[in-house]
Amino acid sequence: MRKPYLIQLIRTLFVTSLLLATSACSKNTAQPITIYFSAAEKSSANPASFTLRQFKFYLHNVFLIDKQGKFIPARLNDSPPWQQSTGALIKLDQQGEQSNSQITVQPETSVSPDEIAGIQFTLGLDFSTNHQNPLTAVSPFNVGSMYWSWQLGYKFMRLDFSLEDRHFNFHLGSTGCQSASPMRPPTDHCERPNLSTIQLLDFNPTTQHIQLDLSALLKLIPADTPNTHCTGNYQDNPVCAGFVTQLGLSATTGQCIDQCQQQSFFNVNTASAPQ
Amino acid sequence: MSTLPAHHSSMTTYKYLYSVIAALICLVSACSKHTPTEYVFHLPPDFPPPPVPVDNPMTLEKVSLGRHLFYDTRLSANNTQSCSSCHLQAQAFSESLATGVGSTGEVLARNSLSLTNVAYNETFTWAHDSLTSIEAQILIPLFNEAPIEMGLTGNEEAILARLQKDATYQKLFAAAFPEQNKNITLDQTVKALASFIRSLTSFNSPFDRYAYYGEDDALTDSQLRGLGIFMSEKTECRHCHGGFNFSQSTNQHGLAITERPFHNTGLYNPEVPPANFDQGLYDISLREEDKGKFRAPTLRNLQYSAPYMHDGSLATLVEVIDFYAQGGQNLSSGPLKGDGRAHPQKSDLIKAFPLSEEEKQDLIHFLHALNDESFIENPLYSNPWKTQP
Repeated sequence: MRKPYLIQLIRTLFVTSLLLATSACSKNTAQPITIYFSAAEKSSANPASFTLRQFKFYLHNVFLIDKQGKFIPARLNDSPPWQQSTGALIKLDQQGEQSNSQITVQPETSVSPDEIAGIQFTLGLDFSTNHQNPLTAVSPFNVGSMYWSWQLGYKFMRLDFSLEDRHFNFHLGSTGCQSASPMRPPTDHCERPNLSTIQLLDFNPTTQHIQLDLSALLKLIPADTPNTHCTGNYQDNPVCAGFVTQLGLSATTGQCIDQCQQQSFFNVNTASAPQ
Repeated sequence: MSTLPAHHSSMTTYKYLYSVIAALICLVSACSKHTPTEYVFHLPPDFPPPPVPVDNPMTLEKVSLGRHLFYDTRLSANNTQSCSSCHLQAQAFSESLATGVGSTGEVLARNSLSLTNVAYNETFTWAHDSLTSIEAQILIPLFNEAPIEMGLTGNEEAILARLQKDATYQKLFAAAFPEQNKNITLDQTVKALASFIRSLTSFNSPFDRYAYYGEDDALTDSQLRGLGIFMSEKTECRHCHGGFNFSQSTNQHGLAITERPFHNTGLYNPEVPPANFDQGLYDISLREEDKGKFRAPTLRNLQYSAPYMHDGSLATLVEVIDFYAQGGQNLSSGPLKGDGRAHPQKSDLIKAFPLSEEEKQDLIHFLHALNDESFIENPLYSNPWKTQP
């Protein structure tokens, strides 16, 4: 009677210490990783004078991809004002305190920075964050200019710019969200979520950063295009549809086409941090 | 037997404790006569409170003093005007004149803004990107010389002496600023005025009952349709008048990322700008892109605060909606002749839209749902010098 009990105790202790050691290890070695973003504003494709007015977007659901192709969930650190675990706001339209060009993530399992060979994240916010109570929302979810309504939630991306005296507004977000009124949250998914999965391979955050290619977008805009507002009905306007397609989404369904792999807006820049 | 002395001694300890506690209560209650009482904002559940400056915390005593000052004509040099002369409670603390008139009769350039929820303003006045506190804003009507408003400049000592003589103020100032000496100061006057103005919160409209108290029947069907039109891409109203205060220029406690939006709505674009033409934010910043830009004010209590626009040039909500439906204003005659719709700095989001007569009515009904009757009738905000009925 006594011996098996002891063995069991020793076993339990051994397993417990092993678990403790593992968890301690993973805490010690999984270093937070910072990922930088920049916007390439200059375009040789469109000679018209370009003025960036607003450029902001939310992202969440980050994974790092190692050299073996393994996806490592990477939690966004709770570090307001620019990011919470539920999402981060990147703002690239100005310099200084009122802008943010980086996220910091905590990989769930240890990964050496040299081993990182790619990244994946979702552009936008998940359903519950997107339709949360706007009154109790904390930074970065209390930025008025990124908010539509309780029904539709947030603008996932806001890109406002001018080409000479013509104004362009690209506001991406979920549409077709059913509720009693704009002041009531939807209970079910939105018809067109417009959540784009951005996957970048051959990307290492220590030596490279993510660049948003505005020139590719500007190429889509014919020279005589008048003021254009893409704020929901993307499929009705070819320029708006083109913008949504560049993010890998279908303008008619609001879903990824081919897992959003055709997106061409987010690219890898070989500089380690935005210049 | 052995327990008795111990029990006895613990009894004495208790007695001793009781007397200490009693003495402490006396002390605290004595203190409380002089310790200002924290002011609690009247807000719907979960509402973020407005930011309050660290050096001017909200107290009931300061709010009460500020309310007396707000309604007191002795605050103007010639004893004719108080803050309430241009900010009338019945009009949600605005007035029906197109533009204000100062205590000496000089006409101001701009419409007196409603003070509804100004505690949440990111910036103050119609167009000034660095006026970020009520305390700073108040100095303008008090000291402005061109034009003269309250006319304090050069008369500060005389005005403070008037207040100092009044027994009511002696008590009110002592209660509001117990740690300061007995001489009334301008700094105290401004802080108290700011505290009262900061207390002017209004969140009890039918819209609030619907949106924030969850009362599904608080809005009529027409008002709900109007809400949909207001929030639609067609009108884009929500872009500049979004958020819980219906103004993008809204600050709140805990807001770390602030934007100070100003917009050119296409109101004017004069071919030959007259002398002293009001260029809005440009007159402060001197930056070309700021020409004709003004701050989007709250739409709460809108029906009470007519007329509209920075110069009070639009008299009714119908005129305002027609103005936006045309994407601005084209004046074919007069000193401001020109096409505001074509102003190079006009906001991207001001564009003409079709609106049926029924849609227009729905939109107006919705805007009327932003009226908070309890605000313009709130006895806590009324003139304290009038004897209560």
